[in-house]
Amino acid sequence: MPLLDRPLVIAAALVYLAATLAIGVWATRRTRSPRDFWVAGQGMGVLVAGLVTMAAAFSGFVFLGGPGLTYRMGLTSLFINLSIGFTSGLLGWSVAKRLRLLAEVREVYTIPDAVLCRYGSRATSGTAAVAILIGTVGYLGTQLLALGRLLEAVLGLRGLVGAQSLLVGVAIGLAVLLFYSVGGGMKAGVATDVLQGSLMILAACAVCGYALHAGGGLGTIAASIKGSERFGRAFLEPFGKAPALTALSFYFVFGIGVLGQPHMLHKFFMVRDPRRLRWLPLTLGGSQILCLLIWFGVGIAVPALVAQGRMAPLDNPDDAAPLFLLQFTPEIVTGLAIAGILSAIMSTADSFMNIGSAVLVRDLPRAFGRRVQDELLWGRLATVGVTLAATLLAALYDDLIALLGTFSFGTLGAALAPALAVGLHWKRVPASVATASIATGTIFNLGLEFLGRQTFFPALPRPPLPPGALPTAVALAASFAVLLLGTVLVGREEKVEDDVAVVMDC
Amino acid sequence: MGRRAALFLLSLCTAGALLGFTVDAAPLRWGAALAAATFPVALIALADRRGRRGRKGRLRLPLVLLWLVLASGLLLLMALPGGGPDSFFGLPLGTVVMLFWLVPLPFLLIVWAYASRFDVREEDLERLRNIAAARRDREGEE
Repeated sequence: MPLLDRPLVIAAALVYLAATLAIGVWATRRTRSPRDFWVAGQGMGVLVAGLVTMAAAFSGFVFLGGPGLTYRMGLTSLFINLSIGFTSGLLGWSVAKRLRLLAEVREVYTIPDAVLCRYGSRATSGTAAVAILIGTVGYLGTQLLALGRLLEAVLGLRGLVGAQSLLVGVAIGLAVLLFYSVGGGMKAGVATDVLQGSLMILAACAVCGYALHAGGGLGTIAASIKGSERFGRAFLEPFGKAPALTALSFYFVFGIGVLGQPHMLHKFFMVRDPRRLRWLPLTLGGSQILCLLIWFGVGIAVPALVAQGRMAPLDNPDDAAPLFLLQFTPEIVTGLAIAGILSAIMSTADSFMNIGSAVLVRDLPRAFGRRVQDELLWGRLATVGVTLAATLLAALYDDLIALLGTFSFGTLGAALAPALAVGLHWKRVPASVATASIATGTIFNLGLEFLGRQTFFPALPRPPLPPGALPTAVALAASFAVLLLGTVLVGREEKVEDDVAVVMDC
Repeated sequence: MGRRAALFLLSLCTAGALLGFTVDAAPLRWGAALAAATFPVALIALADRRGRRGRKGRLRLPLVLLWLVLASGLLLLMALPGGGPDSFFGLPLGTVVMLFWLVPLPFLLIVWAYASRFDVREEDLERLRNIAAARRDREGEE
């Protein structure tokens, strides 16, 4: 990543980090119970719910990786976001209302809690917890690495500390994250997410505007790209730079897999009044669409600027956003954008820190019929433990973590989406089949990705998939198939406990 | 749409997606596109199956419209060779469909349909709280 150590950019990053620390102090003083720590005291309005769900969902990938991916594979990359038109409504109908109402009748703080209530099976809940832990480590590791790299570039750490600069960058980011997440739990997470989500939207809109202006407007941008040998018209075509099956896989995985993302679903437990969920698709979907403007704006403007000869071709596509910011936006906008990128990374990281600690302190012990006595204390300690484990893995196995990060979304989606989106509406789905579906999604996704990428064992076969098909899409479809077929074959009208049945019928 | 119809649709989508993403055949790619467009509609239909009398009809139209928007958009993208002719802003027609059809239309439709259909009322919550209180009492006695 290019150096971003300009005075106003450094100032923006430091002010942002100081603001999150201040919020951490405020939230820590108000965190007195496990309910505060895990679900922020269930006090969120729906506008805040939309904003914090968006902030948790969108990581640094939207700001840094997205424009880079577009530079590499053209507008086919937008298929990752194309489902954004319906996902907020799908979340509302399929899971948000049911999960929030479950939290009305039971002490439901986590997704495995909800799975336990619905299926009454510790095995099902425990399998869900394991899938979440795998996804959490991958997600958290990539966020911490991204955070370290960004701080390294913004604070000019390479010049200050030399070879250990990435480690120092990770340590600074980690210190701030741990400070507010350990003390304030989800209460701090929500409060910082409001700041972070607002910054993300502001930065995305401002940078998109600058990008389209710098490229000369959408018409000039399109003409420049079409006229260039490097990119050509194929760059602008829906399936120009990648097989149609890759694009359809993106659309399917990100459109349906969203139903199994615990860092998003977890936020629905925190809404104060379930009746306010009426406006969730508007607030969540609206904020997501605004935030994605940066992906489209920078993603399409940078190739045009390269084609116009105003930017040098990129050696590393992931430098698209930082280089554009350095060369084409005023320093104050660069500062805002850096704060936005830090926000995107940290808001996702804090959500996963909380979810990971909940798996260790709450979900897995319950799966074994145990209860941790002082959940608040152990939750704080587990937050440190999960974060340090993810950091260690990130430091030791950089490639593996990057790989895990890429398909963490798929793992979580394939594991949890069918059991929740179908199971919360169909009483006939038995616990055994839900467990099989969760295990299928997890194992298929990890197995197919491993076979597709591993080089250690040449004798192992490659996954027998058509060119362009993503293993995650196959795992998601397989998980649905197991749930539906298994229920038809062995399911019967299950005895769901009265209160849960009322929620399912509500 | 009843629960059985929604589940039948969901099963068809699952089979279409599984075949489309695992077997290398051009017709199955079209099946995968159709499955990807139908999946969200089937899941919403399953989630909304228990509307009160008279309200069901109000969702049928938005769901049909949503399916038409998603399926027509994705199938059009598949059908246009090279993204189709140049259109607005000099972008290929397929890209214009992606940006200005497949994102804003479903969003507006779904926001309107969800808000107008949402039906959690105070009496529902009161009933749930009473059930929860009774359960807590029962557990306390045990």
